[in-house]
Amino acid sequence: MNDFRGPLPLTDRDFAAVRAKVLSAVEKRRGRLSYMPALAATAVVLLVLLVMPRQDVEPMKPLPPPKVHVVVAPQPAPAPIAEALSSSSKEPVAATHDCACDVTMNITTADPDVRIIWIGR
Amino acid sequence: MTALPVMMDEPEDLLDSIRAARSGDSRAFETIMRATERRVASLAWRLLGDAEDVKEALQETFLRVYRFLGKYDEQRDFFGWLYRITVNVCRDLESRRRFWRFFLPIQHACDVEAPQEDFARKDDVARLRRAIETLPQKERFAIILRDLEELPTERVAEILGSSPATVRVQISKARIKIRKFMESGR
Repeated sequence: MNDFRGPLPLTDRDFAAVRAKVLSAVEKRRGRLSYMPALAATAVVLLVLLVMPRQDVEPMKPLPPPKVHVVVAPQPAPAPIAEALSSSSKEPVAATHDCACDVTMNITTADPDVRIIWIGR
Repeated sequence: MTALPVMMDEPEDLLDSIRAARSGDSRAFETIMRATERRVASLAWRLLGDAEDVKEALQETFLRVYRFLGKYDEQRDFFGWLYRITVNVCRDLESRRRFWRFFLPIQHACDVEAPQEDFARKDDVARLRRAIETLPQKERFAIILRDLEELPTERVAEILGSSPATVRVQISKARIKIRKFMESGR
């Protein structure tokens, strides 16, 4: 019963060819495996970056409306009309807008370093 | 010039090579292949009966050995473990071959000429081969391992992944079928 198949039909050359194929496959496999630690490390880093809770950036609060202090410079009291009329005949009347009526607007913003001063006349 | 197979009768030598191969030594793995390839090929030849299939089985067996060498338990017999892998590879190959049988012509083991003394014996051998071929795979593998590889039943059971009782039943059935087949031809 032992020789029911006949002798083994493989030669030494067949065995050598099989060994070469196996060793080549083993080397390829080892080459692939050498990349694995680097790949795994990269994957872990990416995963950590993705999963790590991100700090939410607070949205900018709207700036409070600027406080405007309107300072009106004191105006000299107008001359009485009768006096003005009497003097008009002698001297030409000066333009009324000559009267300096200074208006200073002091605008403060939320930023303490920024202050807008507007001086109007 | 052909390379001579490395004879490793000392289990310690083989164990050293296994340990070295585990740690990535390709030369040690080649030594394991050289020491075991003929036994693996012989078993595959008996199970498959096709020279090309035997080469494929041999290659696949050693690739699996390399892949699973880390799982090999040193307390157990290496050849038992190796035979188990070989049998599994042959099972897979045979299933694939059965699938393709409908599409491709197969050069069967029967085509390989075996040196025979006389025609009567040649006829008996051919009939025996056919008888074994007709057996279901489990019975065929069991009887090949038990009667051709001359392994003890317990070892056959271990290799096939079944119980010794099951193997005994399979072998008994296989023998009856072979006897009937041989007698029917006379």
